[in-house]
Amino acid sequence: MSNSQNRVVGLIIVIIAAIILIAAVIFGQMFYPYNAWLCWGFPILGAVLAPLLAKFHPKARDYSAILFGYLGMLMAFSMISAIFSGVAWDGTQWLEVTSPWISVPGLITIDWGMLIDPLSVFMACVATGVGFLILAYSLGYMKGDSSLSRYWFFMQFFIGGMVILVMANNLLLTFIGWEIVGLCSYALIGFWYNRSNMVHDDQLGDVTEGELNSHSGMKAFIVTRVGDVGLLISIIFIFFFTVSAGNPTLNYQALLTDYAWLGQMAIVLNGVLLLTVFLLFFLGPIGKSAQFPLQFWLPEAMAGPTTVSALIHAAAMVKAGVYLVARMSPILVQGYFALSTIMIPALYAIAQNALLNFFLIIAIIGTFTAFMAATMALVANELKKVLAFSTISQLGYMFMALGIFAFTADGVYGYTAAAFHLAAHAIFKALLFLSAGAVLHAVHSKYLADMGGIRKAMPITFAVMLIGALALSGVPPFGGFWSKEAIFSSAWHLWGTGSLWGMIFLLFGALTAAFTIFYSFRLIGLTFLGNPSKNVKDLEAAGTPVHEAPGIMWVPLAILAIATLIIGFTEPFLQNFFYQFWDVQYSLIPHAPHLAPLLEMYLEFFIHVFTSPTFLITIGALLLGGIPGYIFYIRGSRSTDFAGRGFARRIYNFLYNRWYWNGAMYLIFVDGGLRVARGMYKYIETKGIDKFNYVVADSAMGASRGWRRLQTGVHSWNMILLLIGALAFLLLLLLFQFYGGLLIPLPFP
Amino acid sequence: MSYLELLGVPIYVFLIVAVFLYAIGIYGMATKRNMIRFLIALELLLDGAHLNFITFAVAWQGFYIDLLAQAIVIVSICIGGGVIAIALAFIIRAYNKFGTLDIRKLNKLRH
Amino acid sequence: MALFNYLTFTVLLMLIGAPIAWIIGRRNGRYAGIFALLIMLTCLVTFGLAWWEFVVAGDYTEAFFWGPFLFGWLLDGLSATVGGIVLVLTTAATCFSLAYMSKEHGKNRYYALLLMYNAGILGVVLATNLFQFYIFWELMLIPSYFLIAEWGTKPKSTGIALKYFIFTHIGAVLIIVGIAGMWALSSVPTLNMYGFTGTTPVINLSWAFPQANLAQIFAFELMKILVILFTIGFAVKMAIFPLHTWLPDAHAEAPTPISVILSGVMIETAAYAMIRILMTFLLPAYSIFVYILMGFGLVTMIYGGLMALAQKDTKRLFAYSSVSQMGYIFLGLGTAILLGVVGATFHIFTHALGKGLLFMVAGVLILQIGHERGRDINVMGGLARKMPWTATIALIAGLSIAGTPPLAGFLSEFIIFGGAALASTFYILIFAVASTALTASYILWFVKRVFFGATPNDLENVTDSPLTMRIPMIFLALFIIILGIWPWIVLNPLFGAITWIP
Repeated sequence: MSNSQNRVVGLIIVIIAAIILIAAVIFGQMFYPYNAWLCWGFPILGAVLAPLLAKFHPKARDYSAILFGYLGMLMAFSMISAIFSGVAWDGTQWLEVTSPWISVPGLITIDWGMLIDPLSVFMACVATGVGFLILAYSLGYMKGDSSLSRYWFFMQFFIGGMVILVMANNLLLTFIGWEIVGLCSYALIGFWYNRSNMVHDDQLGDVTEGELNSHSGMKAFIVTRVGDVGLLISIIFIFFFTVSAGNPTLNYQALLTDYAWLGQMAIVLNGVLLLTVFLLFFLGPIGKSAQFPLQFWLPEAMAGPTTVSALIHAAAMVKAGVYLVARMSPILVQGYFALSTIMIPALYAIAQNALLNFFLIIAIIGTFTAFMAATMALVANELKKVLAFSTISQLGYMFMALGIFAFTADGVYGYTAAAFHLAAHAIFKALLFLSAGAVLHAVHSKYLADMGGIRKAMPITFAVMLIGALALSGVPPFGGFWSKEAIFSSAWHLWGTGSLWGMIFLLFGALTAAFTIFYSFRLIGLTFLGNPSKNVKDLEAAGTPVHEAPGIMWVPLAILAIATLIIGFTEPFLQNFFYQFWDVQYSLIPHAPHLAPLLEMYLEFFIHVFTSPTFLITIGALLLGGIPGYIFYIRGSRSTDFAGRGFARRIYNFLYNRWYWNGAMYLIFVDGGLRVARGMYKYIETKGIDKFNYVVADSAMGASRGWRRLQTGVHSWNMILLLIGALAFLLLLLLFQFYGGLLIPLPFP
Repeated sequence: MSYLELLGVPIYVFLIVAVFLYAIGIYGMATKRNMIRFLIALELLLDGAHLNFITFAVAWQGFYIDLLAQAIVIVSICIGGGVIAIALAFIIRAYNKFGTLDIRKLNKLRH
Repeated sequence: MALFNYLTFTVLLMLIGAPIAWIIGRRNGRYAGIFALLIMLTCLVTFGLAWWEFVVAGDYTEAFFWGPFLFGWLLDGLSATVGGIVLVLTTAATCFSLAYMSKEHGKNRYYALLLMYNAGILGVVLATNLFQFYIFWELMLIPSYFLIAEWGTKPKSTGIALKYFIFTHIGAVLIIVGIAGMWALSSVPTLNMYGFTGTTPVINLSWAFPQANLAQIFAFELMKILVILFTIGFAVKMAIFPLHTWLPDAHAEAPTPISVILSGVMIETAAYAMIRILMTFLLPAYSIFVYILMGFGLVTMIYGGLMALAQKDTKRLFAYSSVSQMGYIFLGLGTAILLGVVGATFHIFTHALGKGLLFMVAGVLILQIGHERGRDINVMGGLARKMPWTATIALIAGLSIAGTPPLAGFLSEFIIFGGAALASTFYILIFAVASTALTASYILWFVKRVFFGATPNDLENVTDSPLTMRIPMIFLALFIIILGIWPWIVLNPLFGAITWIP
């Protein structure tokens, strides 16, 4: 088929798909209750079928992957109507669709169950929607790759696992989904383990690219595994305390309604155990969402294909940590208020203190990570690395919001802000990554220094990437602005209540926003504007000039860009709407939801935003970062080299080497661990314990040799021994007597 | 305490003689290098045992003599004769092999 | 209704098959192998029939009286599951041997010894009488000694086999002393494991001490001594630190199919025996040692993991990994709580599958690459594109051992940790879960080094495993995945069977 025919067919398919999607959203009721199972069932079915279909025809496999991704998305979107129509809320609980899985008689029954509530449906829609678009994009991006079966398998398995994670109704099932996405991330990062060109890595030295990819995958798995260990420990502790409180469960809604376990946990060790358990719980999100101190796996994860980076490390897996914290925080916040009914005041104060400290620590880690990663992004030299650092930074924002939400009286506002920042970020970060993929594909290099001046050659990519960058920076009225605004106002409220932490969060948040817009402009400027680099000129000379991406790739980009714009413009409305929703559910002061008419709500929100002091702070931060960024990179054309000297150079090195954290981790844990293991093997095992066997064996042989010397064969010797033996026997007989069958010494009565 | 007298000496003298014979026999078996002397010492040991038996046979009930013990002694003497015969056969064999009557040559299980 | 005595037939068929295999294989060893495989498959079928009886009618027993002693076989939830995995893994190992041992000498002897070995292990699991148990315990030991000595890595295999034999035999001696002690001191002298009912005290010393409470105290002390004896005897077999030193040498230098059986099922029979013997009769005395036992389990876990990280030889790495996994099982057994013990038994199951598969992978590497180079991790690399099946199976088995959902190994570890939590041993719990990160590290390091990365030039011509090796491996891998998603096929019988632990 010719190109224009292709385009027409493509357009028709897109329109039909969109119509079916909208129909699913509106009429989703009819799929209930199957949609809860199918929205992860379809992707997993697609994953299992991918290697089988590959036997028939590769195209069948590729298109089936897209089909199953689409079906999964349909199922996820069809659950939206259940939320809004009130089917899923029966007054006290959200709906759960369950099937019994493990039952320990007399103790606990853990189901394989799906919870249909706003947060899970929201996340499922984001995951499957962005996932589907990325799968479509992959058709073009991964064309011609030799191991596509493996790719489709893991991508779809990932989407299925992510949906299980967000829709699970109990902690164990969430953990299972958690590990599934970790496994797929490991497999997909190390996807190109075959490549044999040599590259240089700071930690590994000169290795083949395949070796580096596998190493990056292994690093991701092990670092997140450290976090998972903490999560698992805390799940088991929660299980233990629910048992001792009399109602063994791991189900979220049950944990919410029967909060006695929280009280029991708070009593132990004066609240220290509560804090420890939940910090261990938070260690899981720290690992998965790449927060400090476990943030150093994400930049290496860029070794995988760009679609993998987009899906896993921008849109889905790293959001899992945020989701988990969002899932547990209402339970903890409710405990904060409701425990007063079952605990004595002294202990209640201890519980409150522990919970407050927990949220404070979340906010601190989030803010610190956001700041830290933004500074690293300022000096990064690879396109995808900038985006990776930016992801870490934005995730930090989300955690900051979730942490602050528990403090302020208007807490649900912050919760809503975090959720929306999550959705918006998923979309625009996926957009940025995918367009980065198009650029990488075209320029055949991952370094910013090899790009430049390709705006005329790739206009669509430039446009969408600009939209993404503006959304990322938080320029009004794009998406990122509203959520950052909400986060800053939560911090402002916190400061207003007298806590100095509010000021610190606000300050660092604002600085991070300034850095964000600076590096976004840097990114756009270095990639698209300015003079073409030597690499671009070489490509033109070689006859493969930089060109726009094919249709199958830029259509998803366009859809994502449009989605970004839509979310940007409607976010205030949606945010307010969801705020009403979650307010009813999570607010402790029961009040009826006040749903004002649409326009009024919209205007109300605008007025609220534009008249708050944080608006000035946000705009100020944008200007602070934006003006230098604009001057350096968009008007002027600086390069990636840094010409500073002395102290500036030191700071540059510090930022460039990722605050030396990566190196420190390798030194302490990898080298240190191996040294400990090898040392123990050499000294304790082979020289110590194993030696003990030989000591025993040698002494046994020595003893036997010693005894053998009695057998001299010399006759007189034997005679003497005979005599001695006879005398001894006589002595025994004289001194002892037999008493009732036992040999007892004579003086015994 | 009054002891039975036999041949004008109290009965315990016989026992002492028997012990002497034991001692000489054991001493001889333990110390003598010559196989023949070893054999003689063995016989002395046996004689000591026999004397012991006889003494107790007489001294048992005072007036009654335990004939079973005396019968046993006679059997033992016969057996002792057999023992001497076999022992002498051993000694001849050893003399033929080693060329000497030194008992210290017989200290290995195999050559 | 049982048509004939299935279980007796199963065990006897293997025992009788041994000399017949020896005879058949004298001309050509291959026939011995095929015959052995047929025997094992038949045993699998008859065991399946017996298992079916168990599912339908509850506990399935075959009892024979010899004078006052009751010998026989029992199939309840516990022995059915453990016996099932024993038989499945030994059959898989026999099938694996066909290709692995194809170039070795003395195949008829090998298969004869293998059949005896399999019979011994199954007999241990199914035995009802303590003496019978001990007979099969020794029957497990002796053929394996010969197998390691003759077909292990020369020239050190004889020494290693002897070390293995003496170590394990000392353990067996302690066990027989314990058994004798129980028999001599019990109020109802019987060796029948199921003869003790709930309230009769195992040891009754009222004939020695007239005062009742003094008799009870002394009896309890004796019970504690018996517990210590039994535990040390079983711990030697299970390779718990510091009694583990025989395992790395024996499992690494044994021929690989034997390593599969050794690591996969034989060391776990000690755990089974602990549940059957120790926790049935001596539970009150056993419960005192909970912290000590769990502490040893924890130390074994961490120590085994660290040692595994330091290894450069595939089979030694897996051997130390087995030590570490036995630590998990010992931890679960040490909790003396239903959840922990069931978790430990389930871990027996999943570890048999996972570690058996890993050793089979090592065997494939040895067969395809060579006895020296196929074991050196530093020399291999990038083999995933040459051996895709083996790489996938290694990844599945490795991730199961590392405790990754949705594979079976995660659930067994989770249940063990749940039990540890219920036993209120929090510090041990935290360190135990933390050591799972260690397990993940050495497994992933192995997989990455051997299968991913660059392929050395001299390994360009390596091909994947032959079919007779691949089929059992695929089957076991599928089983791991199925068990991870539907664990109740194993868990339900276990929870139903172990009723005497709180």
